[in-house]
This record gives sequence, structure tokens and C-alpha cells, in this order.
Amino acid sequence: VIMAIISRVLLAFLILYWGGFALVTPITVWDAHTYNVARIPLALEGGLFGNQYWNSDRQVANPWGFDALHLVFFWLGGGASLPSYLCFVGTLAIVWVIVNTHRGPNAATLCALGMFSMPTFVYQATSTKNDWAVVFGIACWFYFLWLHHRSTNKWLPWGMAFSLAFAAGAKSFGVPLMILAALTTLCVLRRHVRDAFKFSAALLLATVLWGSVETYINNVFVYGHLLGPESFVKWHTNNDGLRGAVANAIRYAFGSVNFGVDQRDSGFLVGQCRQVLEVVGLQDLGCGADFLDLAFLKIGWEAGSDYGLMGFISLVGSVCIFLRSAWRTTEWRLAASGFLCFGIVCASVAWMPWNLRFLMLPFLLFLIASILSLEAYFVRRPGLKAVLNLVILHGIIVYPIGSFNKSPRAFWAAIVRRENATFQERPSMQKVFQGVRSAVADENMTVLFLHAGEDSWILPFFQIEKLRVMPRPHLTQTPILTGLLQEGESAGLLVLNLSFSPEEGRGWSIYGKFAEADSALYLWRNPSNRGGAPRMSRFETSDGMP
Amino acid sequence: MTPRKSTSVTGAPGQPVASNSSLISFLLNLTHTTRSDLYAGVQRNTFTRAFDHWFCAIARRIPFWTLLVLLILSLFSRLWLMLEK
Repeated sequence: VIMAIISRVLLAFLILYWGGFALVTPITVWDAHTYNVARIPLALEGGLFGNQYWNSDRQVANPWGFDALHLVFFWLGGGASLPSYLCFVGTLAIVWVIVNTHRGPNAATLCALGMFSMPTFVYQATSTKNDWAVVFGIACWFYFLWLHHRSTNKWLPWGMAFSLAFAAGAKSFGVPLMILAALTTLCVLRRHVRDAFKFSAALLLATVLWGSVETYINNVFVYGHLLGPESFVKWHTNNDGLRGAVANAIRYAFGSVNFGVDQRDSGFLVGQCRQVLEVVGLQDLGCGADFLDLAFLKIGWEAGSDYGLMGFISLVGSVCIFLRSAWRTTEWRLAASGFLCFGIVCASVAWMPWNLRFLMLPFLLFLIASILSLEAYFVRRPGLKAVLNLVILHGIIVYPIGSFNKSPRAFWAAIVRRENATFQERPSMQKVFQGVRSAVADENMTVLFLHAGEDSWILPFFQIEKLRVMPRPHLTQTPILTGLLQEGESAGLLVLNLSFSPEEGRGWSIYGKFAEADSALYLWRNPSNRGGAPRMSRFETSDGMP
Repeated sequence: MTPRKSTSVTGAPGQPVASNSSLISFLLNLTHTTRSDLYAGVQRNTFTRAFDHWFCAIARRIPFWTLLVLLILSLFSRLWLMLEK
């Protein structure tokens, strides 16, 4: 009884604690600063179709069903991690309700705590990444299908369709999952013809509304390919067929090994994985040349973590369940579904050191399968339950404390040292940000031309107050500033990660050079500041481009 | 308090366990233990029963409302970003 009370109190505390973290934490992750959320201000400037302001293919090519909904949080200036956290809590609720119904509240609570013990789950839930959106979409689809199985309701087929479209629109990896889930739905609903028809029609409509179809159409216009530039697509996909998929499965399996201790850049696992790949002759397959030199990061941030000790146990447990358990049991089906999803990831996505997050859905299924299996033994072997509770407690406490940017210290820093927390992942950008802000304060800089490279952190500059940022990646000539500036105001040209400098004799002066590679801020002071030179009446570039 | 539905080992889902043994029957009914609790090997007290009841009631609604909010936000944001210009 005491354990039951403790587990409930712990679950309530964890939901509130990580909810608070998601609420206050600034946007910290590289991907959001370069494209996930950074694409929003660029789209605000130039829309989606025909936009000339993009500075990275990722801002154009990736589906934006989930990225775009951060628009409200961009306007609010905070809370951007809440959508991911809602997806996590929504998935947790679904797991709890279904497990509670079939195995009781203790098993359900254990599954929910197990989710909190997996570092990648929690780190992704408190970031702006779109991986939880895919899992949540699929979980909602399954929940509605499960409800439909219990009692039919005319809205449930609509719910299934909308959930799948949401998952597909969040990330292109959601598309094969949507297709698989749609086929499964039609198979399950084969005796409910009306509902199957309703689901099909709803899926068509929902795909148009939430499937991020517009980004695929834009890709065809811009790149002539549905998924983006061909080199980009090739880089991100497994181009070696079944052998590449097996190589990736080996890499992911070794990457998931966790002994519950600090395994940063685990050289031991890398060595063992290399040996296995060499023995089976698959060392050069499944990933691009850039990643053949293996690395298992395990450094405690969103994309550089594994699933902890509980994840490793779940993976091993699911292998045992899959190989030894009886067919048609719930546990076997969960484990088999997990391996199916695992296989889809290995076969479709190229292995990269930060791609373990693609395996959140398989690991969720592995976790539930393993806990349900272990629960069956608990009545006879109570000692096992104590061990499992300890493993889960270890995951809940130890990993976040050792995390790079999700520790309780990071929680505190997100409140009192927000700027430091924002740039923790790329500290060299903080100096650039401070330089721009000091130019705004000291030089009355009101306009900033942003000339950024492919992997530049551009998002923070759009969040500086009293500064209008104008992205202009395609201009190569010095602008002649006019009408944009009032008397006493200055304009800046921020060059980020590009070897570019404005032409001499156009009035630009260097304001600051930064440690960030190929980055500098140039300043253009309004001539009227320096003795009343006439203000020009329009804005143009020296090559005549508006 | 309404007992939740649960898959029982032998008894009816969600029903307090009936037993021939009066002591066991008394204890189980005292804590209102269902078959699913026996399955997990832990009895529940008033706090856990109340927590489970309310958590279940909330958890049933969370997926619907979360999905609805995210779908509305997604549609609104994409339309705004595409059409504002």
C-alpha cells in the first residue's frame, strides 16, 4: 500500500515538475534555432511559396505541421516546449487509461513512471522537437481504435483520421506510419463498412488539412522533388536496402545499451559495435560517409541520449518476449509492433548519432510489453518488483541530474539566467547575440540585415525587442539604406557563418567580429546622425534589387 | 466511489473480490480491492483509490483535448504563415 501511495505521489510530482520545466525553459536545441522554430519568423516575412528568405534547406523541405504551431509561442516569447510536453502527457494518459483498464492502476502507474525514467522521452518532451508529435498522433489513433473496439461512436473514425494526419504532418517519418496504421484500421473496420468509409473520407480530408501537403508541393516547385533537395534526401535515408537496415539495427541496438552509469561517448560500445559490423561485413552501409566513424553521444540532451537502463531492459525483455512468449498475447503483440516500427526506422532513415529519438515509438511499446510481462511475475516474486521500482527510480532521478541541459540546475537557470540557458548548446552564439543587443542599445540600431549560413542560429535575433530583422540571404551587394531609418537610427548587417563582407565605400563599418566562425556585425549609421546628410527616400541594393 | 472496469483474473471486471473466507472478504472489501489490484499484488487505500479515480477521469479526456488544441493551433498557424503575405 505504501508503494502504491509513493508511486502515485511521484507520478503527480513528475507531471507537475516537468510541466513547469517545459513552461519556463527557453528554446535551447540546435534544431529549433536553425530550422524547427526559426522557420516561423522567415515565413512571417515571406510566406511559404516563393519565399526568398530561407537560409537552410531544412526550413523549406521538412513538413511543418508541428513546427508551425509554435507561432503563438513565438509571439508570446516563451513556453515553446509546451506542445511537445502536451504530446508526451497525452501519450502517457493514453497508456495509463488502456493499461489501467486491462491490468489495473498499479501496472498503469508503473508504465507511466517507466516513461519518466527514459531520458530521451523526457528530454524530447521538454524541447521543441517534433518527435513526440508523431508518437502522440499514433497513440491517439490507437486509442480511438481501442475505444471503437469497446463501443462504436460516430466520431471515432474522424478522430483516428485526424490523429494520423497530425502525425504525418509533423515529420516525414510519420508518413509511412500513417500508411501502415491506415491499412490496419481498414483491416480492423472491415466489418463496419460505414465506419471504414467514414475513416477513408476523413483521412483524405485530414491529410489535406494537417498532413503538411503544402510543404511537399513547395518542395516540388523549389527542388523538383517531394522531400527536398536530392542530396539532402540521400543524406537522410538508408540507401543500402536490407543490408543497410540490418547495419542500422545493430548500431541502434548498441546505442541503446545502458548500464545505468555515465557512458558519455562510450568508447567500449563503439568498439564492440564496430567489431560486430565488421564481422557481418556491414560497416559501410546504412549511413552516409560522414557517420561511418561511429559515435554514441549519451551526453544528456534532446538528441544525444538513449533510453536509459529501463530502455535497455525493455529492449532485451522485448527480444525475449518476441522469441519465447506465446503468440496472440498482449505482450507479444506489443513487442512485435515495437520491432516492426524499429524495422521501419532502420530501413528508411540513415543512421546518425542523434537519431535514437526516431525510436521513441518502438521503445514505448517495448516498455509497456516488458512491464506487463514483469507484472505477471510480481505476485510470485515480489523481490523482482522492488528491483524494477529501483531501476525506474534510478532513471527518474539520475539521468536528469547528470543531463547537459535538463538538470534541476538548468531549471533554475531557465528562470534566473535565461540567456545563458538559451545558448548553452552553442555558447559562441551568445557573444554574437550580446553584440547585436549592445548595438541596439548603444547605437540605436533598429534594422538588422541577417545574412546567415545553412547551420546558423538565427532565431534569437528575431526575439530582440525594438529590432526589425530582415533576412536577405540572396543579396550579395551592399544595400543602400533609405526610408527604413529614422533620424538617429542605425542599421546593422549581421553575417553569420558566411565568408562575406560588405563592399567598401558604402558606409558600413565593422562593429564587432566574433568567435563564432565567419561571423561579424557591421553597422551603417544614418548620415543624418553625422551632420545632416539628406535621407534617401527608398531602399534598394546597389545591384538594383528591391 | 465507482469502481473502474478492469480485466479480472477470474471475477467480474471492476467488482470487489468475493471470497469464501470471511477474513479475506472483510479485508478486501475494506480496501475495496478489485481483481486487477490482486493481479498486481498490491491493495489500495483511500488515497490511491481517489487518485486513480480522478487521474483516470482526467486521463480519459486529455488525449481528446490535447489533440483538438494542437490541430487548431496547427491549422491556424499554417494558414496565417501562408496567407498573411
